[in-house]
Amino acid sequence: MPQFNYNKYFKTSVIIISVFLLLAAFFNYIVDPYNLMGNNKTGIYFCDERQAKDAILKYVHQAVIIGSSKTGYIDPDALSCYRFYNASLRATVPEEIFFYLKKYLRDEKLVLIGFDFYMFNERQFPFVNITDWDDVTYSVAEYLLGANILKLSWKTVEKWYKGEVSHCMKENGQFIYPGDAQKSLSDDPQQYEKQYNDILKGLVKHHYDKISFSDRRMDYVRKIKELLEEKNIPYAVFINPKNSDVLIALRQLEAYELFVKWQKEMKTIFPNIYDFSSSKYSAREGFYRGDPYHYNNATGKAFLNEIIKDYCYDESTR
Amino acid sequence: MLFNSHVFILVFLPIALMGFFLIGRSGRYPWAIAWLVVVSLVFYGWWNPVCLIIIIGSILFNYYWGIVVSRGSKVLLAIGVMVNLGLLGYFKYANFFADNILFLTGFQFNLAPIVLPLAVSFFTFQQISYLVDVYHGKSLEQNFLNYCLFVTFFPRLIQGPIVYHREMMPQFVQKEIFHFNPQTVSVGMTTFFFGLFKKVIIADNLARYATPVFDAAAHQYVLSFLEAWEGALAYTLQIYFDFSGYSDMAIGLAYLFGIRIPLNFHSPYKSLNIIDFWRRWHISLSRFLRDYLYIPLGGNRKGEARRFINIMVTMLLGGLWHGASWTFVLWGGLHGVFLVINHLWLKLKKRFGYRSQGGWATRLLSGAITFVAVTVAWVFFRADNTTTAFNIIKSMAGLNGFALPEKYLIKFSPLATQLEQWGVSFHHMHFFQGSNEVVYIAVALLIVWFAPNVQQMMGSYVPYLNIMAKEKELPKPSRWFTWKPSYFWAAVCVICALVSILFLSRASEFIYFQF
Repeated sequence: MPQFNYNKYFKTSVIIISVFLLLAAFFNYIVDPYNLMGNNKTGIYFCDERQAKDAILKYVHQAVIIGSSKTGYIDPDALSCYRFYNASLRATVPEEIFFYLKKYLRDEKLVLIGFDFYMFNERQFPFVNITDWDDVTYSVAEYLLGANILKLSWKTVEKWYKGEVSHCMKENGQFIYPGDAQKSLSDDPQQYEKQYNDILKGLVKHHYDKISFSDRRMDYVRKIKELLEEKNIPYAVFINPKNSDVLIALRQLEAYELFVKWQKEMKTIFPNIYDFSSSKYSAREGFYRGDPYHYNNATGKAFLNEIIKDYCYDESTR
Repeated sequence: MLFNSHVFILVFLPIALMGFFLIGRSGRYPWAIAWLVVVSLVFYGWWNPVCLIIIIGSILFNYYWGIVVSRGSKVLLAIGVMVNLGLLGYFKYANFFADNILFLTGFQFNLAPIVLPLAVSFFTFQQISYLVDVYHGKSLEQNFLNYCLFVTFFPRLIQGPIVYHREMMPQFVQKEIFHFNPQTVSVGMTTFFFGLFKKVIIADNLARYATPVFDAAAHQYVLSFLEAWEGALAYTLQIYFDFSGYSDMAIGLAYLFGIRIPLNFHSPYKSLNIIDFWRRWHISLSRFLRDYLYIPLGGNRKGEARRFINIMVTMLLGGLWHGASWTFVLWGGLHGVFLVINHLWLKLKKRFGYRSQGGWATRLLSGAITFVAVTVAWVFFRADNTTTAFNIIKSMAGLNGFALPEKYLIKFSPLATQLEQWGVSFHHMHFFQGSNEVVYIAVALLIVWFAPNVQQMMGSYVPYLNIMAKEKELPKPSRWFTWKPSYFWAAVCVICALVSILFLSRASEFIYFQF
């Protein structure tokens, strides 16, 4: 193998590294898979709502709904009284909700916040160590030089070339993709029941087995309350409806005791909380067929409008 | 600013280097030094500019106190050391002592919130060593700018290595370092990117297996045997690749400027005993503790019992240096005990006239015992508190049962009944899946046990200061692992650089950053 001299070694290495990095940055800049730079012409195929939901600043709205993917699937235009922006983030946790609201709330007329017991399990959802919402979003360098973005840019081009439909979110913040609802479960009732139970078992194990309950997340719940009261913004807090099958499974677990304790603590913090965990909205039919965790749009719309009714002082404002 | 950040690699470093060589080319060497001081202060203040006040205050005090101490007063030296320790004590340990006093006596101190200045332990130790050396007539810096550079030189400012004035500053007298030298720059750049690769690709990926286990244990999650070992081993490897990667980067960066700073790691997990481990792990700290604590305490000159006490005191304080927590003290204490046992064992061997190093089986056993002891001690170092640490150790000892992943039930089906009779259960484990993590940890173990380290690979150029005991030289690796300027090594360097830069993550600080 021919020998270099040091000068050649240094220059060659630096030039190749620089050229590759510039090409990567250029490719990411042009394709712009999340459209963070406003250059995406191919369609946004991948949505990282943590990067994209600063769109709230541009979207004309009067109220905000925030929570996890469960609330993320709800069409905010189907909600009554106010024009809502759906700021929900998949698998979100209270500290993220706090920093998001802290950064983006202005003078909204209503904020609806959906909590869920799973959010307080640090075993499954590790604590997000941030001091500001900007810590979650990409810096320009991270976006242009990230291997992950490079992969997404490539996939974007691929999908655009194949003419595939974009899966992202609507302008109003609603997730377009309906979770696992697309899963094709068998039409045979027996087969379906088995598949359904397997999914249920997996989800329960995932979320409720050996829970590491997070007290620091409860502190963030209190901080959210303080923030909203400081800003003088009306708000309503609710606990998402739980599928009755999930509830039955949960009652068999050690976690159930923690769940009840958590419900009580939430009630102490928010005396007017809407707790739908075990309610008329818990029937299996109100949830996606292949996904016992996510209630469908009709259920979401129904119980949220029930809450909104209590806070709607002037229907004509919309 | 972090070495593993875009702003450092793509903006700060090229500017710092170009500025240094451009000024150096004009022959204005003091200006080049001033430039290095300025960029080093920018590097330090990037995180929190307020901390600049503390480091500049500390530099001013120690520079002038050095001149005072040079007159030979032991009292003045003691005052200087006390002031430095006081600064460290206030910023790093005030809350710790207040908490313990509250626990013991119920008396509560009302302390204002204290922000720990970055690298306070490192620059304080470095300046204590300077004052002691001045007192002994080994060093004295007359030039304030040079003194500033001694303390702030950015490649080693945040996490060391701890370097003595007498070994670093004479290098800045050589005029050659101010001129671009393709050889030193090539070696420095390669060393830096190898270190970056160790940090970004190896250490950060190991963290994905270590962190959740320790976090879960902190939340009273009862780990199974394999989960606990997975966490402990992943952390053992993570901290090595993290800190040695940082040290490689520091050595590489300093060498870009033509400066050699001390070697900090020499494949510590290849050690066959704990004494050897401490000659290979964080070598610059071990040397500092030996020179400025263990030897002044009497070292091994005052009999065997005093020697063991001195070892324990040194290791306990060494542990406390890492952080204001009892877990660090326990970690240090544990290593102190290991060292004492090791010395007693050597004494016993000597008494019975057994001098042989032993065959491969003995070496394998010694290496295994050492590695397990070090791994167990890291659990205390990493755990949030002693209760968590003991819970993890309990699981590692098998006291919380032994389980295998559910999916193994099919693989082990003929043995399953027998295994279950022996108390092995098959069930889902949240942190041990028995797949990727096993491969990852196994590969990392093979690297630390069998591969040459970065400094060995760059060995023909010796880009570091050899501070190993008795100036023991690093063994030369095989021809294949010896770096030289060639197409092959250029390709390796480019791949390491590109992969590391593309996978940089903002969330990833160095473990020793907090110390």
